[in-house]
Amino acid sequence: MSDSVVFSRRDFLKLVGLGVAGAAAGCAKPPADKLLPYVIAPEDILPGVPYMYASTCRECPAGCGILVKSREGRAIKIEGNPNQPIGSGGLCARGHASLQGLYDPDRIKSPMIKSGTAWKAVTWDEALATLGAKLGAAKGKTLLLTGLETGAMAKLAGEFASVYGKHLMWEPFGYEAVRAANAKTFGIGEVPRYDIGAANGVISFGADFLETFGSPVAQQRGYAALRAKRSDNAGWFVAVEPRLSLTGANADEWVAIKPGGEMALALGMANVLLQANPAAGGADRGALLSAVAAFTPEAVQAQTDVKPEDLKKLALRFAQGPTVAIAGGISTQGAGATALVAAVNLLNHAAGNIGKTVLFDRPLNLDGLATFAEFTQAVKAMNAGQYEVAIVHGANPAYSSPKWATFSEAFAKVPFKVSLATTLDETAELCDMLLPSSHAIESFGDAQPSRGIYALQQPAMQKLPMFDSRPAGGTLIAAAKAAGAGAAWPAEWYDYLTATWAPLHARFGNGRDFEKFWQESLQAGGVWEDVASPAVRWNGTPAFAPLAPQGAGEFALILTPSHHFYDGRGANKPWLQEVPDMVSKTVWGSWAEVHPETAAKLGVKNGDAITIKTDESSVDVPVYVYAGIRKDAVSIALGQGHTSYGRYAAGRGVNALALVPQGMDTVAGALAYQGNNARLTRGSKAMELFLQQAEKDQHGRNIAQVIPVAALLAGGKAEGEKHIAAGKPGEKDYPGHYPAGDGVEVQDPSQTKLGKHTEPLARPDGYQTPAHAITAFVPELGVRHPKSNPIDVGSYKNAKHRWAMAIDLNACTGCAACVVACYSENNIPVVGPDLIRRGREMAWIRIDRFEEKLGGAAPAGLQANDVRFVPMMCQHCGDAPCEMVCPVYATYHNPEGLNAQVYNRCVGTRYCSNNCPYKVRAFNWFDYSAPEKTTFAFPEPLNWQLNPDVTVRSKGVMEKCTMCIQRILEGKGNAKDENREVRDGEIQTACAQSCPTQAITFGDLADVNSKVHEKSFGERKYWVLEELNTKPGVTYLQKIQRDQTSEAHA
Amino acid sequence: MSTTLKNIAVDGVNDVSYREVTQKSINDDVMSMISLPGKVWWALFLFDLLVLGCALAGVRNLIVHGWGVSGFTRPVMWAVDITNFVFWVGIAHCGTLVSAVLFLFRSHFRRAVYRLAEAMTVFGVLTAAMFPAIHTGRPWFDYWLFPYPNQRQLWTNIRSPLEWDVFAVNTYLTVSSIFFLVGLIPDVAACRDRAKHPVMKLLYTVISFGWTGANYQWKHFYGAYLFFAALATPLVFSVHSVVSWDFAMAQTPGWHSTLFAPYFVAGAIFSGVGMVIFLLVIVRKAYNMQHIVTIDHMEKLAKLVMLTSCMVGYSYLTEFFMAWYGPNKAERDLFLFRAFGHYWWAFWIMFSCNVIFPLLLWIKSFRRNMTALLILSIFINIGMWFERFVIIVTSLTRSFNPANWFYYRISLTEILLIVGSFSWFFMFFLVFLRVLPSFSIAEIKETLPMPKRRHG
Repeated sequence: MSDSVVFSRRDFLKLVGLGVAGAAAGCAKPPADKLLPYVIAPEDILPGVPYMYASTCRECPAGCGILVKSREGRAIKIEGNPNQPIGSGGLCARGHASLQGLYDPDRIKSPMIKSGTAWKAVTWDEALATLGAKLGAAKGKTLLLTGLETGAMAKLAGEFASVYGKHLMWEPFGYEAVRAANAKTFGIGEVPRYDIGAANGVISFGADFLETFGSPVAQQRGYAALRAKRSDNAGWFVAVEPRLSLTGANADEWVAIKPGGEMALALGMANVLLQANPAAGGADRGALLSAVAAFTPEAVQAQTDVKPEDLKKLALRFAQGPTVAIAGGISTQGAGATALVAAVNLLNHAAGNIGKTVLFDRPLNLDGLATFAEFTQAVKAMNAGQYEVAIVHGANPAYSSPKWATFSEAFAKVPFKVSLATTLDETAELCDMLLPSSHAIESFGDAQPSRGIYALQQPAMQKLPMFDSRPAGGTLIAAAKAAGAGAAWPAEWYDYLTATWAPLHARFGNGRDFEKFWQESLQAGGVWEDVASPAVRWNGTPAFAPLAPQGAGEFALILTPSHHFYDGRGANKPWLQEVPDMVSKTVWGSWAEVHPETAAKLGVKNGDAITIKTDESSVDVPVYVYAGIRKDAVSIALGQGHTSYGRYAAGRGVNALALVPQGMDTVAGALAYQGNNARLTRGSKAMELFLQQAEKDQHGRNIAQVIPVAALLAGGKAEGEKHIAAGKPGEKDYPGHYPAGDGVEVQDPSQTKLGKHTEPLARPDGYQTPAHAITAFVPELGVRHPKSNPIDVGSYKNAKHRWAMAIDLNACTGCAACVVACYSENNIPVVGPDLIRRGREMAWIRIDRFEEKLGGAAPAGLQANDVRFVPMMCQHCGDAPCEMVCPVYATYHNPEGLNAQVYNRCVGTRYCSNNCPYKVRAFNWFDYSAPEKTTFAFPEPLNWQLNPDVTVRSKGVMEKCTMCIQRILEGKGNAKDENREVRDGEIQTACAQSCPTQAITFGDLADVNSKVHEKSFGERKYWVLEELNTKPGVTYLQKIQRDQTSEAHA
Repeated sequence: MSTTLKNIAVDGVNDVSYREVTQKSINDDVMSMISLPGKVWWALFLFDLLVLGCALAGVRNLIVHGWGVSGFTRPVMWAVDITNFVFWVGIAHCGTLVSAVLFLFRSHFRRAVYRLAEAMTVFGVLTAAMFPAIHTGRPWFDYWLFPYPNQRQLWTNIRSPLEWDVFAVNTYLTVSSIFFLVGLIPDVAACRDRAKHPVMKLLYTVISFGWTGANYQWKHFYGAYLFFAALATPLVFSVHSVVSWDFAMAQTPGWHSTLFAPYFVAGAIFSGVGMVIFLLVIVRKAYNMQHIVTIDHMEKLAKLVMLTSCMVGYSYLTEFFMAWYGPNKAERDLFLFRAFGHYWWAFWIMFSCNVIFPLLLWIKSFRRNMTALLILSIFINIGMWFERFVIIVTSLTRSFNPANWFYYRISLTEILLIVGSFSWFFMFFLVFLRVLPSFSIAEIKETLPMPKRRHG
């Protein structure tokens, strides 16, 4: 080992060049950078070639199929699995971010035992021996508390509990009310599948079906199909909710209903519908009519604040089925939650939607999931000392159950508590022993998220070496075996898992041996079969009674499930913290939404503190003034306010659950999140609201454009909006900017002609550079040197592609899945709240939210409460303002139409950003990539996630969307290897790939048969800020505006 | 034989501290300024270095941590850095104007003031040039902005206004330095003849280029001077026009305007003359030079300020008129925002300092009151700094896409950059006062009557 005097030729030359070896010797040695090759190369890994492992997302009960992309043995990205029926290739923001659960730097490093208040690391053997001893003594007195488990893990837990005590499976968002109501009305206690795409119209009664409710990705896909309908009377979506959620923001119409009045409205609509159509309700007509008799449009007005004529219009529109009404989200889950869902079931039934759009063929598989009431029973049992040992896995009730449920106190009374968590969350902190579980991406498992879907979960990489973890199932088996039981079980979790798949092999094997079946199932992500919907019939009509809100205060408190954090489990993932909430556009914290008039009355503005006080408790939060909420309501999102759970989650915002007073929907046993009053007072604490986008008014800049459906059907152009293909610039109602050119008809997307604006001057055949023009910098032919390349080789003339993108604003729901996918694909650093507030977000794609007349009266011919989302990334302009001003050509136009950014040429003058009208360039203000700096954005092992195909940018350079050039190169390389042309759709950018509604289309404009070509020349196309003549490569498609049934209600 | 300075004091003399100027006294007076520094000078100089040291600490922060230590936000990618740059380039304009343009126009009042103005020009450009250099994200690669041959065939983008800046500022620095040094030759020769300290003697010997005062030397000297004056004159207009195109060539609302070149040149002369007045009022008082730079001279400078103030004011109003008259909504929104939005105070500081306060100059007694001129010149410079701040920051704050509107807030580092730029400038200026003749002995002597030959 005598490497101290060895230095490379390059270093030697450096020293010689310097000529000051003495000075160099005095300098600190640079850190040793070594590239370690494989000592023994694994047979199945080719360096540089990604492998996709099919698996299943475990971030919410929906269970979408995923593909985990692995490079050189490290999982680097997650994408939707296009073949799995749930998700169908889309993936939400939470699914993308589950990678950061795997690489969470705050994961538990090894088994630990609490001694006093400190944690002491122990070996697995020691820990299991201890646990075994405790378990052995606590037969029948063990509580196994888990989140929703299906498949082998549920089976194992059941078997474990049959020996040792009880298995309690509990989810904070457990759909108790939906299950109870469906059991009551249809005799099927399940969460149905809503076929939104098959419907003519959708009414959501506070169900955030594009965010957390049900199976969001599948519902998003259905939503896209719904909205794509080109018809006067189909494709409409009405949101009935007191606070305009992200889901509601996508609606054509917002019925700002009085909080708690949803049930009355549903029944009122059913009443009108049944009265209007003598056939409605079929055999159950009599029962239905008598149930809704009291709910006449006039009678419900007081409860709903909806005018009778509006209600009638809405009901009659709804009658033109198939339509679908959806209810049961957390933001309507109050004491009357079951009644609300039952009322909406009645409405669906009256409109004849059951079996058409409300289907029970693939319901969410929540088998064995406990209700909140059952959870409180278990807490009572713990309190009574019935349990000696508690094992917690996949649940965090210390955070996600309200204080009055006294989980923490009862849990403390259990003598020995073990957590099988991956991260030290609030519940794990209360435990006596930590047995870290492996993350879903590094372990085997399975899931049956829905009937007929048997999904597999497989490791995409070796277990992370710095975390000594084991799969939870294996830990349970080992613990049982250590306690002397479980002899029937194989020693390894993997063997247990495969054993449980034996029956499936029998059903789906088709003559294959098990090993082959297993391998092929793993490759596909599982097996699935078509299932028939069970017969659904009306089972009974419950009696409906409206409930008054509880507690003192003049504001209705609305707690919303967090789109990013779900019930709070996503809060330790920096991507989810960094990507703004799409309603308020805040990041990294909590906020309370109040109406502008309310805010004025309270004397608060954005960012000022207010105190929200219910009978239970009070919290201080910064205000976000939001016109999309009723004046008599205040809204706050769940999911923040962790006290532990890692560096990214702890101490951010408040846990709104603290506000929930004691209350339950006794029918379903569901926690009553809603239906409470609150008092608001101006807070005294200094608070900060971290807004990523403060200005939500377009100021008439026509960035997000719409086209009324009537104009679309008439083949006309958008009213008041300009259109690329036709419409003279500078017409009336277009007070915008200068026209594109004097007297010149504005062109179609010009990029189809290759290199139109960038091609060097064509030279005639046989052209010789004249002698006087030959300088050192004019290439001379015939010499083997870079200079010898003639100017038209490898340059714009020979380009075969024009990469471009089309973004359909009609499909975009603002769900931000693309943003997280981009963070993941392109190694974008997370910079934290303070820098975001100062506009220093690094995201390459962001979603601009524009509110038009929110809470106000509709302008003539346009919608009220119109919210538009515009995914905004580098537009890859054909005539780019940024390229012209860069003094060093660090940004230039590449032959294939991309606006390329050369990081190592960039000096950092930032002029390009100043001249970019879209402001999509991000500057590296600090060194986010240097591990020795405090600004380092990828603490170990988050840096393992970095995509090796993408540079990690250093301080002082500009960066921006590259249209995933690494994927383009990969796709072109693959095509070349196979000696063929690139196929349309073969290359997908990260954002386009992940989009659940397929709003983003990427492709080659030079290919006239491509999808992107079709969309870019379609009738709704426009370019953002087209009058600046930037000729963008990103074409937007106008959002279709549909008629509203009524005036604004706010 | 004593003579009054009739040719200089065109309008007659009523300065209380007026003294006679003779061929000898002018040498004595001017060269008395070049002596071993006193306590006041040292105190000023050390204080200046202290401030500069603090500013360098700020620059170190910028380079080590990155520009994140500034208050910049995404839409506002330039603020104090480029504000300082344009401000100091503007300051640098007056020298060449006074020495070259007024020389060509035979405006003889320049003779008393041009040396100081030229020195200010050179130091102003030196200060200004600092900012493009340190404002980049990776200042260690600044040399990439120069087109130099390299084996990777990387070239600069000659379409970029920033690249034009590189050439404009370097050209201006070169020409104004040469002009300054050429003009110094006869005076430095005189200093050389009197210098006692060997180092100073060596310095003067070198930069006087062997001047002996011979007839042919005078001939060549004036030939060269005229040539450089002719060369420098277009630069007065081109440099600041090019600087203005940094903005005007971009399509950002508030920047994209054909007015910018003349508007910036007028502003530059305005601020430069303001700075000359500021320096002259202090220097002539501190060194008791009221007989060389008379109140008449000061009044003429004040009239130049009057003129340029009107031009600047006209430009402001034109911008607003065009925003109102033109079809561009973004532009209109921006100008409303500029005057009444978040940075309204900056706009009104600019407007009152540059347009309203200088209206006082229409009063003759005000023009001839040194204290008043001193205060006004300070306001002018504050106003002109804010003019650039307003143009840069407000325009960037409100560009096309409202989703990306963020407000910029100045950071401590940037305040250090501002005071640092002044300390950097005054470091040169203080040394200049002590080393080189601050007034042109040779040119002032031209206005004196020839001494009579003694006849036996």
